[in-house]
Amino acid sequence: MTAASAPVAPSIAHAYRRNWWRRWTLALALAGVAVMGFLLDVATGPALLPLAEVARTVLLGEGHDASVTAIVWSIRLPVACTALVVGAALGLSGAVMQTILHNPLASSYTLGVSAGAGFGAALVIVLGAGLPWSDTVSIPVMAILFAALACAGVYLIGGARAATAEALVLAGIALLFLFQALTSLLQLIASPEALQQVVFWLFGSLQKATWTKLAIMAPVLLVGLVLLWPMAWSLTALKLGDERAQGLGVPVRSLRLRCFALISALTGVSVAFVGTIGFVGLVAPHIARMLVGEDQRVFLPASALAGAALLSVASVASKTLMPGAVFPIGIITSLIGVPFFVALVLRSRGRRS
Amino acid sequence: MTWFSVRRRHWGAALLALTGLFGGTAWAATTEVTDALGRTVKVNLPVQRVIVNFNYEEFTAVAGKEAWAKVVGISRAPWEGWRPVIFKRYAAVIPNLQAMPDVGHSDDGTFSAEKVIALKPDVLFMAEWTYKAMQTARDQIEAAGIPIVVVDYNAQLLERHLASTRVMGKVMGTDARAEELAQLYERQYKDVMARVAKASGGAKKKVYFELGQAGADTVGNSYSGTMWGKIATLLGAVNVADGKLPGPWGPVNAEAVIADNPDLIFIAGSSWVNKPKAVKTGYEATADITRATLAPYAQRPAWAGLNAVKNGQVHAIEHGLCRTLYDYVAMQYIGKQLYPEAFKDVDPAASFKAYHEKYLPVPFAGAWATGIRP
Amino acid sequence: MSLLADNLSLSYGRQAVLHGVDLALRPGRLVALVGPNGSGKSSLIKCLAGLLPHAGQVSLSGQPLSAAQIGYMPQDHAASAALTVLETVLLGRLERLRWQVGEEDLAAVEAVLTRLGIGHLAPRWLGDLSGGQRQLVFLAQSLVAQPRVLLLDEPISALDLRHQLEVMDAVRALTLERGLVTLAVLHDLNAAVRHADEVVLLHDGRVLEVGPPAQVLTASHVRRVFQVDVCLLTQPGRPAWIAPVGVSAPGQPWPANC
Repeated sequence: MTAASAPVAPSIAHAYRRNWWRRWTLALALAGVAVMGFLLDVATGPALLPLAEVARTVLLGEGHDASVTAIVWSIRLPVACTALVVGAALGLSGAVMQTILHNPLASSYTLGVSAGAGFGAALVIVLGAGLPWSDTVSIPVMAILFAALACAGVYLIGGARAATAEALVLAGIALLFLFQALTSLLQLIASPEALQQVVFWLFGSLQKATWTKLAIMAPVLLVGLVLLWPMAWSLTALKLGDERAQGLGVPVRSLRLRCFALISALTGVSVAFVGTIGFVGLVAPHIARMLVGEDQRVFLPASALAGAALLSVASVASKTLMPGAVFPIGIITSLIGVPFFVALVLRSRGRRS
Repeated sequence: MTWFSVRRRHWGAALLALTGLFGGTAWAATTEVTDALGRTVKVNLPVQRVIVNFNYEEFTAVAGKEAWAKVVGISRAPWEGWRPVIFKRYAAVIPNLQAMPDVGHSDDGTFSAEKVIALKPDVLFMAEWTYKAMQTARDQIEAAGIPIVVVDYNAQLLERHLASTRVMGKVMGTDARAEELAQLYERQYKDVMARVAKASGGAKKKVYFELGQAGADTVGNSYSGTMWGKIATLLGAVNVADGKLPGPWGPVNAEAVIADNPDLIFIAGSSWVNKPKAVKTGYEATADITRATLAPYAQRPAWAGLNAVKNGQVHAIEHGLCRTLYDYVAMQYIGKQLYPEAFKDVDPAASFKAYHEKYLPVPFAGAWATGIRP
Repeated sequence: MSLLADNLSLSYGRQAVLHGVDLALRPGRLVALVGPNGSGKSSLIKCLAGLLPHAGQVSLSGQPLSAAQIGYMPQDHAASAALTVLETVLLGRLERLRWQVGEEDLAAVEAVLTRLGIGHLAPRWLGDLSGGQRQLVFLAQSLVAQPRVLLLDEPISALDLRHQLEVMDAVRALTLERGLVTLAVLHDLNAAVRHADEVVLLHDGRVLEVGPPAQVLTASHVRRVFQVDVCLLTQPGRPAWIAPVGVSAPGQPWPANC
């Protein structure tokens, strides 16, 4: 007599499964865009190499001379791969952040994590802050360190016991302003050369990508994905509000803090190597949401894919806008982000009226 | 023709051919050079393809105008953008300069390792600040087998000026000329310092430097411990900006300048484009033009009571003289204003003219440093 | 099968909210929890649902009440989520869901949606529904895991009359059908009168009275707890209309005992 033994009405279950596959198809389409972006990213650059040459160098592992090999394998491929990895990390952390903070405008910037990382990097650039290693090592180390400090700060200020969404957001904003002010102070005392470096770090750049850095970023992204996987259903439940989620048995506070730690790691590592790149963590989840809804099992991977696609496309744009030069990527992502948000606002206004 | 003479001719030809063969292989020899930062760099001499990132006038002086035929790329912005008039004059006499490929420059993030590698240079001359700023790019360039030789005139240190000059000469195969220039610079530098040593003993004079780019109604940057500030201190003057700047450069509070009452004021001018109120100096300026653009500064209402203004000790000096191989000209001019007696027989304009005639492809012209009083 | 709450006490810091509350709720009966603002109704429901740490025991048929046996419906805060009705109700089975949604999960969802008459809403987005439809969806969510106890916190406060009736009728029907222990916090005394088998009157964190509506919602109790003078329009054995004195209901004669 129980429902489990009776055959399910084909309509509801069937519709659900069909919808499920449709969503994964859309996610796959996002992956396709990311791949396209990747290919274009490898094919374009200031050296203006012919496409056939690039293709041959990638496939055979070697170009027809050392300079082409160096360009494709030491410069373009690391940049293109980094665009995918960092885009995915930012998209993923933005998605999780928006979910656990119940705030569609949340991102790594809202919590001051990126600002903290930026300050850490500025410390090294301007003061040569006391570390015995070269800049290539010191900057990421200090960036991650200060990203972690920012997170700890948010946790302590936001109320270790209460840790509600609002409290965390407010604490994050406070830290954002703090770190921005401190970074501005550093800029004031910087020499002209150091100042330029800080400014460019704050704009973000994929051009400093190397295989070594990728070897650090990619595993962090993978670990993040693996750790988030089993939390997908709990995060979906969290979308319905703290109380409802608690009623359904979700350990809301602990979930929030675990996600928080994950976000800090993902953001800290990305920002440490490529500087602060804005809007990807903000826009990618919205794209994913529009396409696949908020079932976190598909929403999270879709956000990562959307982020990868977005940053890849932005990387191509930054190289092709001014032929022969490279436009700062942070500006490109902002230029994409702002009209996107205007469109979002207009759409939501229209729907409500 | 006897058999012997024919044989000799053949042997001569054979010997020549053999020499050519050995000489040819000896031509592509790897030489170790030491650059301005003390790095040992292996370069294949002689070089056929060169990229120059900064210090173009120094490169021209050391390697000669003909060396430009070997240059395949430069960073255009610091020359064409920062010193447009100078660039124009050089472009008029160096055929391939106008269309020279741009490898970008580090200040606006456009420096491209990819571009450098694609041009297949035998050597890349890099400024110290670019070298420091572009770690990933320089690793990529060196990994592609391109040696990087760092030159540094920005540190304003005698050893680095000399080392940079000599290493450029060695790489470009103009050792003798480079040595001549190095010795000239050392001689002039030490001469200035000797005169300063002889003259000091009285109260130190107070000087104030300001960048005269935005016009007299804006307070321009001053310098402490670097650029003009470093020169001021080196020449035994008290730099008003010392202790008043949070960093090495920036605008000094106008009140603080007046309170200190400097004895000499130097406004740094140049030939910037789109800066109508700037102080004009350089190839296209005349003494009258320079004075005319300097006048608004001397006439700043708040400055009326300053010693420097009352005694007519307000000067314009070309900003681009600082941190170059001919910065001794600037030092001579400033020294002359500080210690007129000790520098009585020194003529900075003549020094600069001589330098142009011997080492630069463009003729000396214009006004480079002059006081408000004719 | 009764739900027993024994000496429940709760404090927020030094502020005591519940003072030794005892409850005995039998299955198959819809019990209304009423009281003025700040009397501790929501807190009591949350304690029973296991969401707030409290002193005292809550047991079902002698065993401590476990989370799996509870269907809890908190106050509706209109959270916006891009989820469909089906996905929302599916979350009610959170404890048992594996990565891939199984046939039995979908079957359970379909069953409860059909039972509540909202099967046709399954593919609709949650945000597109009316208030009443939303509450039915959340009711379905709390029922889909087959709980023994249903705890509802103000399920109809934001609904119009028609939707109030829809939701409470469904709750009542299911309570009877499945023998659930149902406790619903209701603000509107008339709604309590209309739908509940029993009423628990809470005053300052203490249970003032438990019993059938006629016994609990008397004019003197209402005056004491809510500080309002009311007039009762009774049908045989059951107060049917509670009207504050001094406010005239147009065309309505006051009954003889006012």
